[in-house]
Amino acid sequence: MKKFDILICGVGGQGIILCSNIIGNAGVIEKLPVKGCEIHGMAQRGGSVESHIRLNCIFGPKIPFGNADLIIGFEPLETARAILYIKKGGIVVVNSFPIPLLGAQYNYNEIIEILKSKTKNIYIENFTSIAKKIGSVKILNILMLGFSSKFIPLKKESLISSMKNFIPEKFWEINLNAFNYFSG
Amino acid sequence: MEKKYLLGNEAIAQGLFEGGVEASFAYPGTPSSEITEYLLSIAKDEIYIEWSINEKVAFENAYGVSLTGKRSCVIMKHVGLNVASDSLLTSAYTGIVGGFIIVVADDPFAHSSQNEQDSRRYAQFSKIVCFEPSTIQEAKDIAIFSFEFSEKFKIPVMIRSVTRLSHGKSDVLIGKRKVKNILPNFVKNPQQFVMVPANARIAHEKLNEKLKLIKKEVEKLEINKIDKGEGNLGFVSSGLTYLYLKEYLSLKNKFYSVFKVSSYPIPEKKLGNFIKKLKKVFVFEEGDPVVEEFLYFCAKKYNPEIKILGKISGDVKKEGELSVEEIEKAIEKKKKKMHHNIYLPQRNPLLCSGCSHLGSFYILKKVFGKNAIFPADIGCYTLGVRLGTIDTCLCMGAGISVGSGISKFEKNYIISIIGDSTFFHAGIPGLINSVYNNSNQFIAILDNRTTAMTGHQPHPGTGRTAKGEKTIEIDLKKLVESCGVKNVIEVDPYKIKDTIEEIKKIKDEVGVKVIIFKRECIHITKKEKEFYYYVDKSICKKCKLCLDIGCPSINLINGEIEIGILCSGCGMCKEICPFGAIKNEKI
Repeated sequence: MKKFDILICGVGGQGIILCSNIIGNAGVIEKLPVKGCEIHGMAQRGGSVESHIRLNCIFGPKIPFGNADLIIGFEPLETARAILYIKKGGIVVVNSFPIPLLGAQYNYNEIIEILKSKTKNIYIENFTSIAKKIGSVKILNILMLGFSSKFIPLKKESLISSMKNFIPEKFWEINLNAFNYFSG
Repeated sequence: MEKKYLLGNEAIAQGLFEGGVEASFAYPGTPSSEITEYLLSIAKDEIYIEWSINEKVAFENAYGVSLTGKRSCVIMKHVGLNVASDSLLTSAYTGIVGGFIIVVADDPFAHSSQNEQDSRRYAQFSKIVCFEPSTIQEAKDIAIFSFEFSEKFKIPVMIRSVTRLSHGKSDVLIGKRKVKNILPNFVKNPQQFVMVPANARIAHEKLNEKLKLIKKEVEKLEINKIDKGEGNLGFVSSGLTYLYLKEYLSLKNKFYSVFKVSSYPIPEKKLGNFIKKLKKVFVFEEGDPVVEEFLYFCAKKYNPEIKILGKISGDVKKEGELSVEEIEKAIEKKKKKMHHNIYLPQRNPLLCSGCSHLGSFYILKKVFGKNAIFPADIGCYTLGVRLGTIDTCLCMGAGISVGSGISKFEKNYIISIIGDSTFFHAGIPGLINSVYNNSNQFIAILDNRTTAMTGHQPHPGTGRTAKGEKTIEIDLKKLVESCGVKNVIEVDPYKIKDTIEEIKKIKDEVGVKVIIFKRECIHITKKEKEFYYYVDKSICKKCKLCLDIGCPSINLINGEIEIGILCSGCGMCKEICPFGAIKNEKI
């Protein structure tokens, strides 16, 4: 397997770090060298969050610009901010549901156009509304992980077994359903 | 052996654990806090672990443990070392008994700090040893090895991390804990441990002798590594920068020689021989040009003709972090586009919805007006700068003393802002000094019952220890009163109107006045949201007064005031709306 760089981005409180730890641990389960890091501001909640996971990587924790194989964007503006990381032909999965920010406006359509101009392999979906429909906005992260799993060069079993290490039993059912939602 | 996916800080903690640490002391500070948190999660029953009141106290405690022969460590962020530096510098003179490690997490780019100082300077300044890991696995290995090194030379050893290492993640090999089976034994030795002038002079001489041996020893260390390559261009790097460099070279399919510096003192002969055959050498390191300066010294002896490219020559930027991109820029001298064509608004760090500081700041602005001066320091409340209630921020505890100084000349109201944990950390001497020297100022202690910004660690005012055990709770009000303050009031920042009236009563008193704003951080209250808040648009006059509180949940959207989903239900906005347009309903 070649090196595979994944970037997850969004807003604090969306469950990005958990999602990233699940992927990283799944990599370790498959005995791959895995690196990663998180970048977040000083805010407790609501700030930009960026998490890097580098599967089969022996270098540093941070993906260089233009090198990400996959971006999982939990929020459109944050995905646009992180789009410089995508490599030519890279895959972008983006949640179309925007999270407003205090005292600033941005053009949603323009943001989507930027994303589309960077790669043809883009999947835009309102994952937040699906998450609400099938249970709770809290499972957004696992829903998006489930959707993106077909692009990640790890076995589905490894991801599920890794999930078990992080998700408490009483939330297991709803999370597993979210993970499997797109694979039917 | 088992492998785990660990945070850099967790790997350091795992290394300290496996290396047989028996006591760990720390004051929380980003990016170092998770080291102690992880130790608490894996070894609560095996290791003595405490959150100390500040880094100096933590350092001295750990030093004390070392004098009993046990292995100990002290953990802090880079600026914490300023606080502990008094103890650090003389501890190098006395030396230690049990292995003694100082873990310091630097913060290049000042992600969450007030400066970018380089702790390796402290290691040189104090004449101790510093190891700088390049990978997370190495960080764990170095933590184990540092105990042995420290005991071999009876010297404190510093481990320098940086934000990206501390907050990076990697697969890490997990090993077994090895504890030396020794009985605690403090051996009296005044010549070694009592630094009166006569002993200090001798101790300094001994330290310099010790350093000669250490300089020989570092020549043999494998962590100072050479990757052999081709050509007469070479690279020297330290810390994480080594990995950035290796990735850059790999991306470009280049095979140059690379020297990885991981110890300070830097091995002079090894580095000297490395540069002997080179015509040009690039130096990449985060922080000050510590390695680079040493390289100039080395070059004089080993290769005076060599061209050294780095921060001093102006080829590498002197501030912030390095990265693969920065290395590319330095080597290829071309600017890579690293920005967007359109404006993307930033999500600035904000105080949380329902944060009691929002109420405290609103109240202070209402009582003292626009011309009041707000000296402050470090904590979540520093984010109040956006609200106009933070006018200075130097370092922990500085607000009170800076305010005291300002008060000697300025006649405006002065309200020095400090948090509860920060007050215990470094505010008390400033308060006493202010009282003793008849300063005229208010001190607002924003007591949210925790060390919030670093992840809610307990402190002496919480009545809980690091391990969660009950302990004596230091009463802030009594403490302040015993410092000689006549006017001390304790108020609730959520009760805006009452508190404004309460403060007005002491507004024009002379001397030091202390207002304790007491209300738990919303992240530690277990309370469920009781009320749902909304704006009754038929009543709202759009006066926008409610926006003054700075709550991130109250937004002006298309000319209408809206309360967003982040609302925590604190009710402060309802209290300040003069028309009763903000209403609530029981959930």
